[in-house]
Amino acid sequence: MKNILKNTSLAIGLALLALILVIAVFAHVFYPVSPWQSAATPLLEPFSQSGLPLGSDMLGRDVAAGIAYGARVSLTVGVVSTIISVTLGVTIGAVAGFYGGVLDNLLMRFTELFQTVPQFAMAVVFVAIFSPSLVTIVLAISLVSWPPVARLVRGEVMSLKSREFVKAGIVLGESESGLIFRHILPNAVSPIVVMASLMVATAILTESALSFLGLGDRNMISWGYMIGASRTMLRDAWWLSVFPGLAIVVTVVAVNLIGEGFEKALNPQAHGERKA
Amino acid sequence: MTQNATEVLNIGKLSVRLPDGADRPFAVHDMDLKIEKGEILCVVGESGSGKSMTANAVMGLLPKSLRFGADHIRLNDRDLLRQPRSTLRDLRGREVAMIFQEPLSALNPLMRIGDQIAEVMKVHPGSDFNDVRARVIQLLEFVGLPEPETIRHSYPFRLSGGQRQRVMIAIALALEPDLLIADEPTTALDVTTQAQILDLMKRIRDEKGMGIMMITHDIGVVAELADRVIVMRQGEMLEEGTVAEVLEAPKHAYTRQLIDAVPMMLPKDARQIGTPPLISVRNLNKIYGKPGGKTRAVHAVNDVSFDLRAGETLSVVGESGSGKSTIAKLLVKLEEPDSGQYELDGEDVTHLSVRAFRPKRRVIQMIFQDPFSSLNPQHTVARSITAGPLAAGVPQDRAMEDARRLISRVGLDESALNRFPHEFSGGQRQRIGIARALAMSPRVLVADESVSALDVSVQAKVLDLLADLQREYDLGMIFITHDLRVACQISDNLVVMLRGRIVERGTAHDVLLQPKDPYTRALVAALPGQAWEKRREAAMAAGHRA
Repeated sequence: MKNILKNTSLAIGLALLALILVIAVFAHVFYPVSPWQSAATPLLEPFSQSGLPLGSDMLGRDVAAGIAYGARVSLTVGVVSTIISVTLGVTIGAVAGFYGGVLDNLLMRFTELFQTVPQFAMAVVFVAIFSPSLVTIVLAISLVSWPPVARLVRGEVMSLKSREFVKAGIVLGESESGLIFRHILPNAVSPIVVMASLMVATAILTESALSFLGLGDRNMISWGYMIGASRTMLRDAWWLSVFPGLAIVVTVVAVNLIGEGFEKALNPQAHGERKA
Repeated sequence: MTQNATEVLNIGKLSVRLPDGADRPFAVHDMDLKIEKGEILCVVGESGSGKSMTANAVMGLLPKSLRFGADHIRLNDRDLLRQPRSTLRDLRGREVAMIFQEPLSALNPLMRIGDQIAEVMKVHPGSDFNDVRARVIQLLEFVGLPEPETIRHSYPFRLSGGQRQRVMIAIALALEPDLLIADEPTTALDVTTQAQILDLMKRIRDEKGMGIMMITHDIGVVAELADRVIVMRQGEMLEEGTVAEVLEAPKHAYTRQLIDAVPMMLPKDARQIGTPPLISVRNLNKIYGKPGGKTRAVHAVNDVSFDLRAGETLSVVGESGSGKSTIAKLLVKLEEPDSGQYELDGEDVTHLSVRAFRPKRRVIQMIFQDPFSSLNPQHTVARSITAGPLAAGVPQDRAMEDARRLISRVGLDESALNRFPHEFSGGQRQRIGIARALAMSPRVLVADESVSALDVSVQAKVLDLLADLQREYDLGMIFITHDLRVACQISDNLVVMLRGRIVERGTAHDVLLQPKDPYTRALVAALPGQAWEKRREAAMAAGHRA
């Protein structure tokens, strides 16, 4: 714990993320009224009326409530899609790296298939075909973001596979799954964790971009949607785009700080110096 | 100042401070050292003794986090501590040059050899060598590289390790510096190549009259090359003197220890072992790459046959690329043979799949080369040792009991079981590796260069342990090594390998003391420090008689 606090970027990132998490989880306590309901006169400037610190939009909806509820979508999408794509990527990468040969070749060509199509375009098409909802958005983002994980894990596994302690495991008669799960993957955890934390940030941005384009879940308010809906009024009602924009920036920065913090905490030298 | 005119380097009271929290306050403490023209000074010590730090301090290569101080570091008549950076930069290469241990990484892979040598002359304009091209060729000739004109236009990857080290030496010699610092320049090389490089160093001293500071851990190299010796331990200079003084009448107990730990070419008494072979290998072949394929096929193991009986040690010796490690891999099924027959404990296992071979792993176990990568850094010692037995179906509490017994058997405390590999030294880790192999209660141990990464005093202890264990468990042992002295000391029988083939076989005594094959003869002749060894053996024999 002390180590985490000494690591400034990790501490700041975790604090910011905790704050956002609290807002997301308790959004219905702070704002019992749905963010889609109009709460005041339209287009109130921030701080012009008590109870509406961030003003209201063109339909009189509370911007602050929208941001609070939007945090739910952003965090859900970020975390869930990262879990899915990391699972997928680790599995494919580990199998390809460990077994090599034809299997590796097939899996890597398959991975390249996904890598050659522009990620965002593929996500847009996927969501558009399967009608926008939280589930399809999460799946679309997972689908486009696993290939780099697979590549990373494959490389790590290939290099770890040639290490002597893995050879020693083979000589001791450990099973293949034992080698992968006990020897190889635990030693590849740090780069995977670092990459995963940065992927959360990318996923949040992708979701915002999809919502901005009108491909968000219609039943859930999201930051991207808020910016998209108010983009025509950018000059008359700046607060409608700026505050959700800031929310995105703060969340992404927080997640990136955490990723960077992990990278520092998990680098091999620091790891070697750890006293057990 | 009573400066001797022939003195090239004089260091007074050099100390290098280690950062707080290191195991000792100084990497180097109060070191005095001087080198004269035409003299080779060997600084010898085990790993962590501060010998490389001393060399790096002269070159200004110490990392910034280390603070160092000295009364003076005088190169010719200039005190390096009082020179501005620009002067220091100018002196490097012109008056002092350095060669490193790893010739494979010391050259820029994207630059032609000739350009890399010429570069030194370009960054030091105004040197006496106007015709750069002629000078490059002259240098390549001097260091003994064939066809200098071709080599000049080659990229480093075309050259062997020994050739690259020659190129490094050519670069160092380019401006005829007065002092050459060599940091373990032959450690990464094969013994025959090492002999050639050592000859070259002697020639540099004799023909160019340079002062050479040679950092090494190898007493054989010291005996072969040095005029004077400095012995270091833990940053302290223990002893200094001419090579005869230090090696034949060491004053310090540690020096004595260091010298005694060097294995001698004294084979153990021949034994007759009548038991049926545990391992019987006939006409084994392993080819990497397909013949006629894109990459050149390498016949790593070519028609190799041998037997191993219980209680016998068979050494496989050879230089890098001779296929000796491939044999180890074939025996423990890390590789599949292409043809031939491999019988283990009376059963033909040549073409058993990795899975089908698994029960056989209780018969044959392996000790690996690198004590730093052969243990999973995330597993406790207990977990590493019990993994094999657990995978073979031994219950947890019995496996733990065995682990406790074995860890004390290999000379470590039981508390070691709960600790992680990074808390141990190289020698201790190798002991853990041995305990891990023994946990399977094998009848054959394959040791692949298992002591070559260890300091010589540690190496001697690990070899003793292996010999004890062999007697205790009646183990058959395949010992793979490039070190003829080690092989001679521990083996009953010995095979010498060259490019995948066995060129000579027999008892250690016959092969190493009366070699018949020209290659074996060359290998034995290349051992550094043989004259010293003869004297040492004579002294020992005299001691026995007295």
